Amino acid sequence: MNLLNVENLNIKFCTSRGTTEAVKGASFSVGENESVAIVGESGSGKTVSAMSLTRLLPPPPACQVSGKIEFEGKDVSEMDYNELRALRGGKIAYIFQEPATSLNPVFTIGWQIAEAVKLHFPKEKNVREIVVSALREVGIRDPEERYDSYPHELSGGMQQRAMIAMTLVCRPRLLVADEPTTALDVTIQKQIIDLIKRVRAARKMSLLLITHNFGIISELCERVIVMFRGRIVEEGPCERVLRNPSHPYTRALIDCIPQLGKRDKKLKPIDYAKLEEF
Amino acid sequence: MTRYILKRIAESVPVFLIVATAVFFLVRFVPGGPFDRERPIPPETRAALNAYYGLDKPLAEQYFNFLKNLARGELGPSYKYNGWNVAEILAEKSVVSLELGALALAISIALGLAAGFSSAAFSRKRLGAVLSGASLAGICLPAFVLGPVLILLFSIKLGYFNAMGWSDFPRDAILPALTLSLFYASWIARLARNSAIEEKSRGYVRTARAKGVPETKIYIVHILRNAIQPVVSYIGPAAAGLLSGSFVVETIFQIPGLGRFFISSALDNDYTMIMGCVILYAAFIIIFNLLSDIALAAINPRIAGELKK
Repeated sequence: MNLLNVENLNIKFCTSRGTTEAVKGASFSVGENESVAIVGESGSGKTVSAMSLTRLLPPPPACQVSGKIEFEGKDVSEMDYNELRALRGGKIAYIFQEPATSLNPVFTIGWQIAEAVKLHFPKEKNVREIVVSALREVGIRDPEERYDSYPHELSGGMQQRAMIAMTLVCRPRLLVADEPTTALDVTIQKQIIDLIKRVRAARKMSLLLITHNFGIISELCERVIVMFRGRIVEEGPCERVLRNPSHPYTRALIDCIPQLGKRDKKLKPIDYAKLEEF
Repeated sequence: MTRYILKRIAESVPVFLIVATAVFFLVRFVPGGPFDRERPIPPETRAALNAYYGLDKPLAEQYFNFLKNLARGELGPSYKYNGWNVAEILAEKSVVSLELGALALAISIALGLAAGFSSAAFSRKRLGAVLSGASLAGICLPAFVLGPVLILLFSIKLGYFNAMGWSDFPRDAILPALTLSLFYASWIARLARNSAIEEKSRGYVRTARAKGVPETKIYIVHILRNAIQPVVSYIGPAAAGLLSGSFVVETIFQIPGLGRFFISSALDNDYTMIMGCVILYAAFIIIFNLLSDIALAAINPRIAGELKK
């Protein structure tokens, strides 16, 4: 059985300026200890799909979600608020694109990670030790002292490590990483990717990676889902999709990755007029 | 932190001097003088008065005497109230204004925060709209309308309070404090509401939700500590304004406070009194701004970090 099963997911946003269908009939799954990437450009519906897994989107009527989302065989849309809160962080944990804004500026990182522990393990007595060991696990030096640091006292890479530590303390089964490296320097990106790879292997977590960066997909994921305008246009093992994309949008996405050493090759923007036919 | 406070106090000395200097020369450039009346006084009398108060001396000498006295905490004799020193009058009257102002400040903060934060919490519900509309009305309603309405309702119709006067504190302070605080409470409510609504869409709120924090705790713990910051910086100048008295409210309720001296001293060209009032207000502004900055640093460690530099 799959850990996560999404069937015919539709997400609609109703605003005063009209209705947008962000996701149209997407179906996908993530298996036990599997790592899956969702790729697509901005506005393709990949982030809202990820948010809908734990009902993090705004409530109706502003946002309407339909379809079936099953986690460990339970329908997420039928969960009551307490089950939902246990799911959030406890079973499905998130890390976001910008660590600087994802952490609360007025609390120490230790306090913020400890809050997650207390929520999901209310009887736990050694909260501080758990937090410190998680900080150590994600490669933060002097975790005892860093416990009392505020987010602005850490670099972007360190903040993202703290975010990852926050997800680890609750031992989630699925980690949803929404563009976890986009806001970081390239050298730091590599460190964060390696860190995610390492903790995933150590904790046997499944991973759902949301990105537009093909480079990190091949590093982290076994399977890739390509989204375009709210629809899944292609799905398959990473290597096959990257080497031999079957949908023209996937090919266009891969073609517009800049390549080192090919001086004469111009960057190729995506020709949407051509894609309209599909 | 101590170093920062000392630095701020040291910085306020030149500010203080500039204010004192500006007011010293400005009052003297205003047409008319302290001894001008409807009926002109004999030139000999005027000369004698000028000589008695030292106003016949060159401006530079007067200025240095003024600074010398100021350094000793002396503001000189009032030209209008014979036999009284400005410092004595201000000290006596400020007790009344401080009592009234402190009560009004407490009401403003309590009412403003409660209304603003609940209005933001229920921003999509009817309660939020009602509170938001009420705070707008509170900003628009002037004290000279609200004061008489309160007197009419609570003193004359219901007989709960004295209509005016200042003999029974805190009972006599309640209606004037309410009148005084409505504007500030409404302004705080709007600041708090706007700030909390803005904070609700921050990334850290999404993080808190994604790790399973209950909604009420997200609002009370995560959002409010961030949202209260603009309110804290506003409370500094608001406190200075409230504690230095209000001409309108003191006139309506017949309260012997400071506020009336701000206006009457200027009308009378009572040089020393004008300077005393302005210097006192400047001191309030400096002190309360410093206090609100210190409070801000206690709330937001990032600001505290900048202060250490």
